[in-house]
Amino acid sequence: MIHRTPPSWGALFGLLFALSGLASADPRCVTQSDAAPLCIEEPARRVVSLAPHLTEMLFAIEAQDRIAGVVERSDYPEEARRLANVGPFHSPDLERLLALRPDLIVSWSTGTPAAHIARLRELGFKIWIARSEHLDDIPDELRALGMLTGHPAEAERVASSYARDLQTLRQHYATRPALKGFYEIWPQPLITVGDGHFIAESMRVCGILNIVGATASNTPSWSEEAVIRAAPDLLLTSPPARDFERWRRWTALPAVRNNALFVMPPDVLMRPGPRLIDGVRALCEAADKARAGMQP
Amino acid sequence: MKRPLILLLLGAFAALLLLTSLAVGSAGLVWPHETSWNIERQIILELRLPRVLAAFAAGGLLGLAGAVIQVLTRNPLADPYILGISGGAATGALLAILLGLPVLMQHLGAASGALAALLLVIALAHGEGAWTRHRLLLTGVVLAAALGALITLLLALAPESALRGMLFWLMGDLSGAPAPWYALSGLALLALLAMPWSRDLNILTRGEASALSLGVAVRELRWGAYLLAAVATALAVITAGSIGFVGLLAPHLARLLVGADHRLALPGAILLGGSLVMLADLLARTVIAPQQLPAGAILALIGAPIFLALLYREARR
Repeated sequence: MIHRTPPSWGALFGLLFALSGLASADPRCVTQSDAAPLCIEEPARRVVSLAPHLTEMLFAIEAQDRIAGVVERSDYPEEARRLANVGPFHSPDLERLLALRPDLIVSWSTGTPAAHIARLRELGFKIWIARSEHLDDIPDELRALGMLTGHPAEAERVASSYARDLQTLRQHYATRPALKGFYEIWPQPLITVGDGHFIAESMRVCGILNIVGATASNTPSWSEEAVIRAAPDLLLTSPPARDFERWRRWTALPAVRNNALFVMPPDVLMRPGPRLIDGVRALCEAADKARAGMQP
Repeated sequence: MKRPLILLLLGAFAALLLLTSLAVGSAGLVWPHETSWNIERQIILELRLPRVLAAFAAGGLLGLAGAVIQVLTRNPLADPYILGISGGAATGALLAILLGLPVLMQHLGAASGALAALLLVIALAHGEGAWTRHRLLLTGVVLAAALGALITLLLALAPESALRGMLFWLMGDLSGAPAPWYALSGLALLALLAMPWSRDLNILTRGEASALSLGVAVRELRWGAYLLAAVATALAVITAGSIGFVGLLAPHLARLLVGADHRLALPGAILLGGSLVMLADLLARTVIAPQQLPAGAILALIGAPIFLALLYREARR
């Protein structure tokens, strides 16, 4: 089960992140999710990635020749499939990991179990822990990876391009009429996203108000009745959840009346990596379609 | 108090719970008001009514199955899940969830898993040699243990995204209950079938030998009662997932309240089982609404103290 820090901690982390940010004095140190700096003497040459989105980041900053191994489901870009596989993110194969002799392991705070991180630290590995919780974490993490792998220029280019695109979308959609939306991650039980989740943040970028609001868990189980009562203007999901039939019988729902039920492209909106911007763009296009279909 | 009167009160309690469950939803007490009558009516008729009926049917079926199984095994700790049926249903349903199949396939998976487990137990227990009650039950118990291990394996292999669905199913969750009509009509039919046996069941509790000497067709009764309990369990598990505890709790509560005579204890167990699951689901839907909890987890939390309190009262008498 994904464990997420409650919002207040998230805010605190955010503050610490900003304060001790990446523009710190020592250029060879980067911060990580628990705000402790990670310093290296020279760029890592054998990196093992314990998250698919971190693998994508390493490829995006052209540090693929530094990757010694990746976690299961590291399937983008295509070449990532050919790299040595260390098993699923929740229980990586430690023996295989050791055999790869990494000089840096990159992990994420909400995915990699804390026990594994502790064990790997005991074994003397350098581990960087990404937070990967918010839209604005991504450029920071790209830059950190650039620093750690000795590709700062490429990382800066990708990070600033992401940040610029995000900013453009934010500005573009800031003035559009607000829509009420609901995002279905899983149909049974009905699981959605709370405001702290980066999918909810993406919705906000596109001018979609998440009817769920702030919740203690970022992926709460939700009541179908509450969704119907909130009368969302659009309903969203992405594979593997794709069952919209349950909603179609509620003909009075604005989303159903205007046929505003959208299946988002797979992966891009679920992974906090550089392609998330494509997911946000697809989400905003869906919002535009919903606005166009609404009766004035 | 007279015992039939207690039974009547249990019925009234169940009806009251049913009405409360219809009136209370995730948005607090909601009763139709004129402004949005259409959508309110649809919510009550299409969301709450099927769910509360499914809850009652699942609880009633497990109460009935539990009461019968406790007589068959002459073991107060027995519950319907020792038959291996729920393990089969769980394996089928979890496989469907793991493969990302739609909700309907989960129900079909549970149904075929339950059927396969039932057939397997009967085939294995019905070998050569004298049929003994130990053989049937031990087959079920061992199968249940093996399937439990298989379920653990499925959970260990499941991807993160499917895990919550699988856990909710295992804890007992009514949010995805299929149309309750099968379970309800199954409950009615099985209750009608079981009632004529209640006298024989009473005799069987005194032991097989005395039952035989009193002219009870023990062998036929055993097979019939076993099949009845198995079908009831399968229907309940397909409807509500493997919702725990109620099959153990409801029969004991019924015996404490209306006595050990199965002519009263069987309907008592049905009403109490149904009420307990309705109450648990009502709480699961509303306690931290609009967030949802699995009803099975709530059930044990409210059921255990009630049971202990009644047991304590009985002991002091």
